[in-house]
Amino acid sequence: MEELHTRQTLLHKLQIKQDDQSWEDFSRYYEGYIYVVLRNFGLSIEDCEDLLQEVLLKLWKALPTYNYEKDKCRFRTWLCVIIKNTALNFHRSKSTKNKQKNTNFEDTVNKLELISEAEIDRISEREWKSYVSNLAWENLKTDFSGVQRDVFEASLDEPDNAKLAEKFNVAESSIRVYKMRIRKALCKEISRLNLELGG
Amino acid sequence: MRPEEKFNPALSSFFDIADTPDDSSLTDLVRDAKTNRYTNFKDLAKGGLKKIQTCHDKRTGRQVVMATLLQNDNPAHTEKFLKEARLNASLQHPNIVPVYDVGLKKDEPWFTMKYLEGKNLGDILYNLKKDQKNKYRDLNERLDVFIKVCDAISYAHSRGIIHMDLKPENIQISSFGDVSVCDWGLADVLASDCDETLLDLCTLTSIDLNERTVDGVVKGSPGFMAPEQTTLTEFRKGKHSDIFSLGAILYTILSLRKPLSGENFEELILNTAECNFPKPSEVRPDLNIPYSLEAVCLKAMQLDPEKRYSSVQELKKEIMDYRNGFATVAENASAFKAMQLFILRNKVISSLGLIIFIGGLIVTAMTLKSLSLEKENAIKEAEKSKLEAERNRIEKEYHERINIEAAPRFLEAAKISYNTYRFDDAMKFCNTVVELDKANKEAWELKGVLHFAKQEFTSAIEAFQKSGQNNKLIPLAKNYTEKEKLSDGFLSTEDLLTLMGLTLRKGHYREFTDLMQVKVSADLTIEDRIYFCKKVLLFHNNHMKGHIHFNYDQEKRHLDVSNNSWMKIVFCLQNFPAKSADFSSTGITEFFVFNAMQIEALDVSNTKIFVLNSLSCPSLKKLRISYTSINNITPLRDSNIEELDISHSQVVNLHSAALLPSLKKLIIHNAQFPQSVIKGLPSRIQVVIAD
Repeated sequence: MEELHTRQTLLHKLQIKQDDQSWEDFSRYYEGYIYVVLRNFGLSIEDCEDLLQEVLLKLWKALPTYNYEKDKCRFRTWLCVIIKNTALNFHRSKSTKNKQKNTNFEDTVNKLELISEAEIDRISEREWKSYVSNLAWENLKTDFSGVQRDVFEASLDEPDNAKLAEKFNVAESSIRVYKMRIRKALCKEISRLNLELGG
Repeated sequence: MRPEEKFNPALSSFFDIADTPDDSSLTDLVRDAKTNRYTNFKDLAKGGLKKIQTCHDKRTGRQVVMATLLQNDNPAHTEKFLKEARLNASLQHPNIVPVYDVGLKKDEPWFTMKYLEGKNLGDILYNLKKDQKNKYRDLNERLDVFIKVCDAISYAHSRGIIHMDLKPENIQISSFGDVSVCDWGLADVLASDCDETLLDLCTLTSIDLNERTVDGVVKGSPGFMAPEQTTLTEFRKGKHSDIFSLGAILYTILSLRKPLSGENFEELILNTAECNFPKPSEVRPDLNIPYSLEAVCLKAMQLDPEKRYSSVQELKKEIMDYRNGFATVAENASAFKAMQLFILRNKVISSLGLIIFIGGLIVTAMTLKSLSLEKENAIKEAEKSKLEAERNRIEKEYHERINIEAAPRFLEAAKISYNTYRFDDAMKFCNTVVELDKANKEAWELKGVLHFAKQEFTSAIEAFQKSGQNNKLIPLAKNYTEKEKLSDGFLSTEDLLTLMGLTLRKGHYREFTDLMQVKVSADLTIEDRIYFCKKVLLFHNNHMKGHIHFNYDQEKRHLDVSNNSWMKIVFCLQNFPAKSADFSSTGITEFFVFNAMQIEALDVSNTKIFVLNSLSCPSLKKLRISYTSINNITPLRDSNIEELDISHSQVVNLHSAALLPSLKKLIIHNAQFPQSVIKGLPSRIQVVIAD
């Protein structure tokens, strides 16, 4: 059963066969996730983009040693620990280099050092959900008309169908239908991605 | 900048939805519902021993109603509760709330039923009483609900189950008009009537059924329950108890009030036991409660079960009859009432016919000038046949819709028609009766008599044979079947006269008159009519060997039959085409025959007539009543008489002459009235003194 469940995932593919294609597929999907998690650790956009490559490199090296045990620790939690450590190292190096100029880095380092395993887990979960959902929406977007897309995106902040109907000048019943259609497609796509990425 | 920067964290919410079972497959949903099948309980009602809640059935994905026991500390209660569930579940009818499932959860019994949205009849009637407008304001809508309730109970009774707690609150009506009878908590099984499978549910001891419930509460709902349910009467409970409650519901439907009430519970029970309630029409005279429905209601609510309807079907049929516009049996309807209703039912069609007819007349009138006579006639014929077809259609429908029980009423109508010589009507009514009830001997016999009168001897014999009676007319009719075949419908006048002579000799006076009536009602040549009338006048007045003074001036259309003092019976002269007639010095005693003549001038002087009451002849303009015993001319005030001869009559009061609206000329004899009285007459009346 476990075999069946994980066989299809990118992670599993990469573990059995560390070729270029597998790695490419894996990194294409995971670099976005690594990026959003990095953004949680108090780094600028530029620094994040730099560190992203570093995390990927570490991953490339560490993956063969990662023992997939679902019950013990999720891959994305393990990945987040690597990301956190990378961010921590980066801040530490900055803080020693600019000891006189900037005390800000030291604060960040202290903060990062205090992050517990549970906290990491929480962040990894939150970001994973957001990442997979957004990825799914990016994949689907083009399948829907402009109005439907706009209505749906607006509905994320405005739950009242009547107000949306007024805003987009469409019938309230249509709003409901748009939302329902996209919700169904989105849920399906989220499930698919979640399974495929296997994080 | 990376695209992730634009990510919307709000989308995460869908990640969770994607994981919930709602979006997983139906197979999983049904599989998962093995445990905790029912969720999301909400209280709906509490009553007696039960708690009623709505809940979501995960397996079927629908809302259902679940009943559970309020207290589960008594095995007898559990049994009772499960009995209700089983009983209700055994009833599968569109107007009975369906039970879906019965079960035990950790020894606690439960059963689920259909969730019924809408209102109960009690609320609907209460709102109506409060003058709230809804579609049930129309009595017919309320009766439709009642008919469905009758259907449900009729079905239950057929399965040997009695409800015992019928009341408006236990009748649920959805917004689409579905009617469901609920709460079978007091229902019981009649061992003698039920299926084998239901025998298990029969009450073991009569105490249970006939005394109070185990809880010590009176079984039933005071206000709607039958007298025998109070245990204060000697009658046993049964199907008739439900019939009483149905009557009580009908009462409420009619009057919007409960039939039985009381200051306190004891008084209410006492009133129930004594059947002490006012008539619906007394309670609400403003509602114009139909008499027939009140009669049905009162019959269903009789104290003595024997006097109630014997079945729900019977009760329902009465309501249906009313609903379809027929008189109810409880109403003891006369033929007149039945006809009234018939006309009412067909009012729309009749007035349609009338409109077509009037329309036709207008068209005819407008085009009269440009049309030749033939064309005009053709149009009239077309209108006539159109009306005819419409009438036939109505009659056909009428016949189809009524049932055997209506037969006696039509027979009565047939008899009335026959007695007033309206043979066509009588025949139609007779045909209706035998169509409805082929075994109605009386109708067959009357039909035979009618055929005989119409000289349809073969049909007459056939009808007499179907009546099973050996009618006295059969031998006579047999003699004429051959002649009937040879003639084109009617016997020759000579043959008819022979036949009439035979009937008279055998003492069949009525049949003699019938034959005469049919003959003189037909279109006859004047010669034939004169010949026939002369003969019949002699026959009829038993003046066979004598001579008759009978002159008819065809040009002036004047009939002179004067000076036949023996001539008393002159019915054969109806329809005689005379414009004026001289009946002076004959033996006639009344005017009836003239009412069926288009006569303008009439002389009845020197006859035995002594009152004018029998005269009703609008065409009459000139009347001579000299030398009669008539002493009062007031009955003429509705006539159109212009010239009146009262000389040598017994008229004493001339004042009433002034009351005759059209009177122009009054003939009196010399010194009949004082001059002062004559002068007192209006100037339009010219007074002439006769010699």
